[in-house]
Amino acid sequence: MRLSIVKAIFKKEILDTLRDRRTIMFMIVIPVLLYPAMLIFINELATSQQARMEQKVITIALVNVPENSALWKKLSSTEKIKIVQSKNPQEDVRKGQVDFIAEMPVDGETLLNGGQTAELKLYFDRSNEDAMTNLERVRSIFESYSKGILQARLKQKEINQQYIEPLRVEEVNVASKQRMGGFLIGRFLPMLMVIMVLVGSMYPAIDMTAGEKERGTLETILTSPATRTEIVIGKFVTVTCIALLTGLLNLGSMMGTFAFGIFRSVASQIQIHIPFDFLIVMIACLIPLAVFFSGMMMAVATFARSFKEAQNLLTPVYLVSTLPAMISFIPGIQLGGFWLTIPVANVTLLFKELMLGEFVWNHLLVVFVSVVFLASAALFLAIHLFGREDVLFGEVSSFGLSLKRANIIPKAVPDQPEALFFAIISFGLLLYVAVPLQIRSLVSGLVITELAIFLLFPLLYAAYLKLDFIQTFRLRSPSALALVLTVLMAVGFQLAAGTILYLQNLVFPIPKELIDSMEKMMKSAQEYSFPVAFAVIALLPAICEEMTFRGMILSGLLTRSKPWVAIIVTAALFAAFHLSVHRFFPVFLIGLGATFVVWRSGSIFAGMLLHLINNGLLTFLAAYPKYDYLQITGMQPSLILSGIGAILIALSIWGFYFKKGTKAGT
Amino acid sequence: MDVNQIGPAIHVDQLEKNYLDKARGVVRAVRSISFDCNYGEIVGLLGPNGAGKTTTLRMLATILKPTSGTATVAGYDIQEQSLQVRKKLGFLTGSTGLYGRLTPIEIFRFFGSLHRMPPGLIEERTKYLLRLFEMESFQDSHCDRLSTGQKQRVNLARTLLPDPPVVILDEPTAGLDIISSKTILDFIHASKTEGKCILFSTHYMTEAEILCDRVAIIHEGEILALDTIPALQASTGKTSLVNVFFHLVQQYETQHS
Repeated sequence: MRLSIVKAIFKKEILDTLRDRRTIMFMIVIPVLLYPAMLIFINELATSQQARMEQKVITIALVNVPENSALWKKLSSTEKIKIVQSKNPQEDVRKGQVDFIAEMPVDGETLLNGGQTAELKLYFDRSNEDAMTNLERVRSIFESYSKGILQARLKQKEINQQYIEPLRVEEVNVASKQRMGGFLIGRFLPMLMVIMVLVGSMYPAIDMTAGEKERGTLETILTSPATRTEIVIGKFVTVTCIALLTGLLNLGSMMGTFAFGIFRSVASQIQIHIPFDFLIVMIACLIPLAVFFSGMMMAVATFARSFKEAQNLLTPVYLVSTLPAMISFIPGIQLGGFWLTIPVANVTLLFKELMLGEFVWNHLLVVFVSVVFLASAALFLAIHLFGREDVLFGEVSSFGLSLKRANIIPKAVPDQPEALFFAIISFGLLLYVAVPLQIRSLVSGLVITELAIFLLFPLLYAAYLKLDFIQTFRLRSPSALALVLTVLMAVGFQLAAGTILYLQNLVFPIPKELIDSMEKMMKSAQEYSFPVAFAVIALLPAICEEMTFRGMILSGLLTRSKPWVAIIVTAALFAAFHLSVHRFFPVFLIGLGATFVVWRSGSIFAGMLLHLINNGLLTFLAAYPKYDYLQITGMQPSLILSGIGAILIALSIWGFYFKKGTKAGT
Repeated sequence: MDVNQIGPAIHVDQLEKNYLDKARGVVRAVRSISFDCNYGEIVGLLGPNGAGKTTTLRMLATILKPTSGTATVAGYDIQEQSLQVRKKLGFLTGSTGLYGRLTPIEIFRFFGSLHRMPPGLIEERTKYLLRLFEMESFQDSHCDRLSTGQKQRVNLARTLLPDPPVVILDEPTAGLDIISSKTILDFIHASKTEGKCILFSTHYMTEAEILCDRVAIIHEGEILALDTIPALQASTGKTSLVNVFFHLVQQYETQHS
């Protein structure tokens, strides 16, 4: 990929998009003008409506209330209340000619004077807007009348007012102004921002894919000396930038509107203020979200042949994506556990949390990783689709047709995109299926992960693509020499482990929690007999994980990448799948070793052996801590042992390169 | 021209393209065709709609991948060195559109930068082509507002900006008026004298008769004949190219029924 080409495409796309009226509408006009205008309009309307209501004269018909009685006088002296005569009060209320009817019992006066309760019936029409908005006002008149009588009664009996009010509740709001603001705004702003990023990505994504197809410019650019990856990346960056800009303009516009508009009346109680560093975090999370939406939109829109068709295809995508964003509206749902893994919902909840002034590192990390994963998957898919001529030039149906198994042509090994696609799906399965299972039950979760994701899935994938199992998974028996060299390397790694962990600790100090949880895991491993622990932690991973990484992934990468690139990428993926920053470096090194021996020997069993020795020894040390000769937990590397280890590894590499007879027979 | 001029400009060796179609199953759009085109030569592809002309040209332009067979353009393999092929190839079809919201000048700048031409050279070539195709009057209007003929001239200029040694034109005059057609045909003729290789497909037999050094008659994905027009006339015993064409197609049909 050449940056100058991507830049040229980006520049052109930005220019082209900024001249598109539709995009400008969604990106600038709506957020900058419509929002404040709409909110201010609603605000003004509500205020004027209220003023109008308060000025309206309410009509009330009285039944069994004699003229010039105390109640009659109170009502007639109240402003904007008019006592009217009505022959058929109930009928008049229904017709809306009278707003209220107050009906006293026939013996009302007697009851009140005799110290009893008189039941006053207040008739009104709940669908009458005038009556409803003034209900409180009318009710308070009667309440105040009742209170007056009560006080007279108490005075007569010489009872203190406090006597009848043993407890008074006073509510004190301890939330700071900022928290109040965060609470109010946190309900809808996260959703709004997520939706605006989505909307912001939709039109440019359609315009740059289906739109180009429709206008015939796609063929033009495909004949230029730019690669398809460069074209997609250039377009992609543009869509992402516009989506982000839309989101940010909305944020700014909303903030401005809130500061000056709708909350003017309650401005003394709340304060909309998000600390600067939180704002940075929000924008940081918005970037991968924008990338994800852009990639998804572009991938789907690529299938369409015209702008209109793309809109039809994307509408369901849009609706499904907005649903999880609504989550911030539901009270009581907080970020954690299940919600952390739901795309879109997790970002929305994270924003809500940040707006309340809370900041949880773990949440941020999990949300960020999951969004980045989805974003890269979407980007990859978009690039892949752009390389398919049936998607670019053919009928939409032929894409599905070419995926149909009957139309797949058998071949020896997967190609690089197929292997990377496999890795992405596996990672998704790991993140969204295996991790929840392992949280529920560690041991059975691990067993299912290994068997289903790392063994069964690559086998099914290979069967679907009609691959040659022997070649893809390198199921050849290794030569004796290769096995000896592999053992040499495995032992070398074990001896050097102390130094490796020491280096790891220098760069990324292992936090105490991780050591605790590892100790817990080791303890739980000790609860099982050694054979069971050995099977789960050493044997299964050695077999299953090798099939995925040194089988499917390595074979695919080697078709198009240089061997050293393929080895590094395979090892990095292997380490990334262990989902731990702190174990990345050691696992990466073991991955390098395993990938190397499989590549040189041509046999997956060499990798399995290396993997088994490594994990087996770890399990052994966990089960019998007294033999911990390396003092792995002690963090004190022995330079002599590490030196011997390094020599053994070097010897093994030398052997694989310069000795004949390391290759497996075919 | 900085190109290895030893060997043919276009070399096609048993190129084949199959499509998957829902209704018809596997469709053999191009069936194992082979031919060569040289520098300083104009070769015409003649054939009805659906004969496989556009598919062949798109494969040479590296937009479509052949099912089997190989081809080279300016000495570069269309599959292994597709980027170099696109650098040396000017490709224009009736369906290659222009960016409607950009002006001709902006389009030239964009495609120049995709070819990694230095800005000075882009300016120079732009100026030259604007004058050559008489585009100065609308050089700053959005392409949406141009007429069909003006658009096709811009498109042709866009193709020629990097001065490619090989030019492929797919029905370049379709739907154009006489004046616009003449500009394009004049250009094709001028390019030949510059030593460029021109491969173009057309419906119009008269165009082919005037311009082409050699013509390929293509039908149902196969090349029925490829030769100079006099040679074709001699071998079929027909005088006009239209009759040559019908004669060859009829011959093919009787052989395959």
